This record gives sequence, structure tokens and C-alpha cells, in this order.
Amino acid sequence: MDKLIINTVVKAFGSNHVLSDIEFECQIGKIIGLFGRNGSGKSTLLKILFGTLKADAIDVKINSKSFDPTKNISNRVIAYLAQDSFLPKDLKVRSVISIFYQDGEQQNRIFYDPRIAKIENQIVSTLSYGELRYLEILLISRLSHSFLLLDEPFSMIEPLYQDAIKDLLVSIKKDKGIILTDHYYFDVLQITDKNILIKDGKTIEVENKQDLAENGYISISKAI
Amino acid sequence: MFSMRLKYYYDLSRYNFGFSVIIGFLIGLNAGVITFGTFGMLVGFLSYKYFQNNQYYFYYNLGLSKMALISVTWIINLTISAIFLLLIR
Repeated sequence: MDKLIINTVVKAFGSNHVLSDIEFECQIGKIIGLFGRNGSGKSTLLKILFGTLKADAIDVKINSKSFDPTKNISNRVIAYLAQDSFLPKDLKVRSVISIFYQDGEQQNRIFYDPRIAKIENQIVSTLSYGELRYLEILLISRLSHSFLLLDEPFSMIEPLYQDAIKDLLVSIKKDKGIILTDHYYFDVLQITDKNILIKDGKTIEVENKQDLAENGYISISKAI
Repeated sequence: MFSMRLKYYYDLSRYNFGFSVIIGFLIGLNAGVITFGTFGMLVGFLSYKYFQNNQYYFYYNLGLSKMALISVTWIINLTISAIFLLLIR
């Protein structure tokens, strides 16, 4: 089982030290929840791990081998769901799937999903946000990458699709290590195996709503 | 891989093409053709970045870096430009 081991990530924007002491692990078969207030560096960390943002200092390993995120895109180790939609809006769902997967068998695995079957002839720009997000997550979840980083997979999505996405993530975790971040902490806590809070640039392990409240992420009243 | 690259090529080059046509009308055919292979690429790149920047993640997840996408697009447009210049001379 591959294990992504994050020993150190340091990142500052000018005098703003966003990440200073980041340390946690994610292995295939596990879903890690990443919490933090706005500006705490969650998205920054995901972009660094994906390789689209450079860290000031970094020490990441996969198993015992050093991992260089700047080579991740060409090596296809970690896939990434960005906060905003990444699909071309002018294409039909069917075309997007056939561009994303050249292999007919892989395409069929997407087309046979009942939620996709009913939207396959629609243009991407006409999809509801839930349909769009589900399609994006389904597409990247079937890639050969060992790890998935998901930035806000539940935000602004109707409950039925939130449940569909949760079911999908739980069903694929046997083949993937997943790190996800979302302010919809209730949904995140339902499917994660381990949870991390980023506070003052450091990682703190948390287990439940009470821990999130004690560390100032949610109000005490919401933890009860 | 081809259809992915084609999609990016089309998206970026339509901004370039539009700009080059305007230059062609304003300055002349040669200038328009040269622009398509040179400065128009910069216009295309900046326009794509402004209007479709997040779509780079579509290609990143498939193993294509920004550099790989832009360099192939530029080589194709430079070649088209050169061939056109030879033809109209």
C-alpha cells in the first residue's frame, strides 16, 4: 500500500507565513479530512502537493522514496480536484469523457454510472453544480493516480449529490489515498478515517466536532 | 492525447486567430500572418489564462504540463505562419 508521507511543508507569501510545520500521512485505503479557517493554507498545501505551487521548503515521501511534487503532473501520482470547475464548458459530457479516457472500457465505466447516463448528451455549462462536481470527481477518481486531493467537493451542492459523492469516495478508497478539504465539516467527518486541522501554519490531529471547537474552527454551540 | 491537445490548441488559437485577423486588416496580410505565429501566441496565452485558467487542471490531471501544451501550440502556429508566408510571397 502506497503511503504519502508529508514531513515538512513551508510556505510564506511575503511576510505571511501560511504553512510552517505541516506533518501528516495518507495511505491508500484512507480518507484524510483537512480543516482550517479561510486563509489557513489548506488550498495552498493541496496545490503544493499537486505541483502547481512551489513550497519554500518541502520534504515529502512516497513510502521511503523522496517525492518531488514539481514532477507530479508528468509522473501522474496525485490527481487534484480544484475548488472551481476545471471542465471545458462548451463540450458535451460525452465528449469530455472521451477526451479524458481514450480507452473504451474506461469510458464505459464512466458512461455506465446511472447519474452520468442521464446527462451524457448535455453540454457541460448546462449541468447543475451537483452534476458537474460529481462528474469531475468521477472522472479523476478513475485515473491511475494513487492519491486524490479534493478541494471543497461538497460546497454548494444539493444533499442528494453530496451523498452520491460520499458514496463514490468511500467506494474508491480501497484503491486510492484521499485528502479532502471542505468547510462542510459534518459531511467530511462522516467519511474520513483521520482528520487534520491546520492552525497557525501547523497541523493538529483532531477526531470530532468537539476537537474542532476546542481549536477554534467551529463555535462551541455547534459541537454540542 | 491527440484530442486533448487539439482541444487546447483550438481554445488558445481562436483568441490568437481573432487578434491576428484584426492586425491583418489594420496593417496588412503579412503582418497578420506573422502575428499568428509570434505575438498572437502571447495574446492567446493571456486570453486563455484570463477566461479559462482553471481548465489547465483538466490537462494537468491527464499528465500535460502548461509548458508542454503551449510549446506544441506555438510550434504548430509558427509552422502554419511560415508556410502561409511562403505561399503569399
